[in-house]
Amino acid sequence: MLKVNRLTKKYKNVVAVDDISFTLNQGDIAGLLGPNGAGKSTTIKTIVGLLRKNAGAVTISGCPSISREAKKKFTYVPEVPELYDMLTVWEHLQFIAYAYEVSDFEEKAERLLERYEMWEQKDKLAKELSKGMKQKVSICCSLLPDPDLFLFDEPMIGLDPKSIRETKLIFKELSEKKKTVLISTHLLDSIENLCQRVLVMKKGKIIIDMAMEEMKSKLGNNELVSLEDLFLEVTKDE
Amino acid sequence: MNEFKLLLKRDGWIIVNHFREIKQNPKRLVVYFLYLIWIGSLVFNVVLGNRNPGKIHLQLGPQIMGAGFAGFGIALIFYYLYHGTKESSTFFTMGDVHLLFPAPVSPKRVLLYSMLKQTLLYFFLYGFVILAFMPLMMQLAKINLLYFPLMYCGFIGLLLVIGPLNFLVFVLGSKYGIQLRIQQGIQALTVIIFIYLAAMIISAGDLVQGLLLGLNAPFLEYLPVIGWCKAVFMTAITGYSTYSAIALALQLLFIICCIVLSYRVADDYYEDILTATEKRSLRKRRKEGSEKSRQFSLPFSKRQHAGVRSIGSGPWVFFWRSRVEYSKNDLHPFLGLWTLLYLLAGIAVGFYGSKYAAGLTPLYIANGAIAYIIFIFSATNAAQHELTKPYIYLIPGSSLLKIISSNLTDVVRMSFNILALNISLGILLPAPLHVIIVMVVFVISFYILNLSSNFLTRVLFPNAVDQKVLYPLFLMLQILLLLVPGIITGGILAFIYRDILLSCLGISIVNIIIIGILLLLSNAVFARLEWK
Repeated sequence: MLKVNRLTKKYKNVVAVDDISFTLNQGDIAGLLGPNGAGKSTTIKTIVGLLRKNAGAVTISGCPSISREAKKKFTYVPEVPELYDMLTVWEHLQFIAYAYEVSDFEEKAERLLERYEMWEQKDKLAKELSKGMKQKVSICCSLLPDPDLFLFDEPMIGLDPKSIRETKLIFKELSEKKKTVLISTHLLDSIENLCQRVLVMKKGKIIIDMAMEEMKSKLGNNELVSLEDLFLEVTKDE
Repeated sequence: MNEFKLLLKRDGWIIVNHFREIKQNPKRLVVYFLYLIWIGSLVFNVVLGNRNPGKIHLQLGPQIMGAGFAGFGIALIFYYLYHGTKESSTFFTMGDVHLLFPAPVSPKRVLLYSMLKQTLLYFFLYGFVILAFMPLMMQLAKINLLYFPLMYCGFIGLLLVIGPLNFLVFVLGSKYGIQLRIQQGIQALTVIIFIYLAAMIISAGDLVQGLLLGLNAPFLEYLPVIGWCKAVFMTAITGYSTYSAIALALQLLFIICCIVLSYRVADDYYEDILTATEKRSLRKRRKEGSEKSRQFSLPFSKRQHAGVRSIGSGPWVFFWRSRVEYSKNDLHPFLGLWTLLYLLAGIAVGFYGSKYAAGLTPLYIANGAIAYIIFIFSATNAAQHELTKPYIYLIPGSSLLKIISSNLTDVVRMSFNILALNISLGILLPAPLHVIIVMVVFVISFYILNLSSNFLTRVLFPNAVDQKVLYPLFLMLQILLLLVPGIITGGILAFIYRDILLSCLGISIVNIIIIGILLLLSNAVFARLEWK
């Protein structure tokens, strides 16, 4: 589904993403982890096409990720949600429905807003929303087109506990529907029982790319060992 | 859905929502009403001025306007051309970046739509500038209002070309890796212009004469963009000719070419406009008061570490913080680029003042103008910035000390600037020491008056919407309440004693009394402040 091959992204002299490669197959739910400044957001933004790659290739179902064909197959939730200040919540969903050519979107949009308890806010302007509410709208916008690939950059920042639980449920549903999901997050417990695969980045490189089970077995299959422990173990400085 | 249809639909919703917002909160109409009154008064002034032939038009008025326009055009176009080699302009919002760019839409069509929309918007928006300058221009020269539309197009054309040209230069520069060559070309052209102007000044034997001759040379009107715009602009002053129409057509054609060329060459521009779009979003947040305005800083003076020692504790931490900020962004915590600019302004005014034996008048005019500008434009300052952060409310200490501490660096800096201006003026004119001291106190009293009164805004208009919407109204009230006592006192003193210095001294004393009252009331006012 998503193939990242020898991707490099530089900002002037700083190498933010350094020659990374990975592939996500249909139905994969992968966590993209790493300390601050590891290059996670840059990787996702380069896949989305917001940043230009310096080297390598990113393809989605065989098409270059910046092509129109590829863009029909994925949606993206940015780290800091920025909406159109003067559009209402409902108009945002309408806009996305028209942009992704989603037919009969009303019922689905209504269901999504109700799941995130945003139905009553549907006529509010984006500029009147709190940061958490904006994040909810951003997630709803990404779920509405129902693409094959979802790219989430810190989706749970600013969400209330109920919305975090709802988002986790949605991730499970996406997994059941064989959708591919890449989630970059620092909230490790939120994806611990969800991700089948973990990619750990450090200083622009992928230092770990393995199945969650494999990772746990390497650490002795101890039930007391959490993803947080594994993460701290692999990212600690030499 | 077709991209143009999608974007038109979005903008339609936005317009409708603006109207809905006004309906829900009619207070917003006040600001539009004030703007309408302002524009109306400008238009009224223009029409009245045109009907009244008894104006004193300067002999060199048309030349001054022509040279001013050419100089402004050259500076503007060259600045944006050079800027375009480093950073692109933007036609987008962060909403576009996060919602529209990842969507399956054609980047080219999105760009074309956004460029055309911005061009159309700016065509009407920038009209305020020319209307605001009309009274001044009508004092300088006789303007034939029949050709005002051409004057408008000449001025707007210059501004409309900036965005697409800047974007095009950046895209071409980064696409073909020719930024350095473009920079060199611009530098070479700049040097040529400077040499040309220097030659004109030397041959005329006078700076002003040389500049007027050089910037009004007939061949300049044939130069692309700047010359064409000037020819169209000057039609209302120098009269219509066939070339006016040709220049207008060329100007329009150039803008269209820039837009079409941008459309043709830009296919992967999302990253190019990201920085400019983020900056634009930040500027918007600053306007709303959540971020401090960027200080005018030198690129080479940016430092990561500033070894600033603290003096005192508690509320004095704000004084330390502002010194750290200025140390990192300017030459010195208390001295900066502005000090040099004030010094240069003082030298220039002093030089011409002494040349034409104008006495102390240039000193009074310069200080009066600066006092006025400072009072009107120093709305965004350290204290207002501190009021948007929680620390000023949380750190223990008296509110009087907090206000003094958070404003002290700005006051000291401004004092040095005004001192630099007046010392240079005083030496060149020359002016006695007591006059310099009075003028420094006079200007600084206006600055402190504004700084010590700004926190009142938050108490009088605690609602963020009110603050934004009613700001012009509050500014008028502030001017009436705070400036009028000083001005009345100054007026009475000037009337009785016929002495400008005494009048300035009177104004300063009244201002200081008002500052004292505001500071004494600060504890009571501060208790009513809320952090939002």
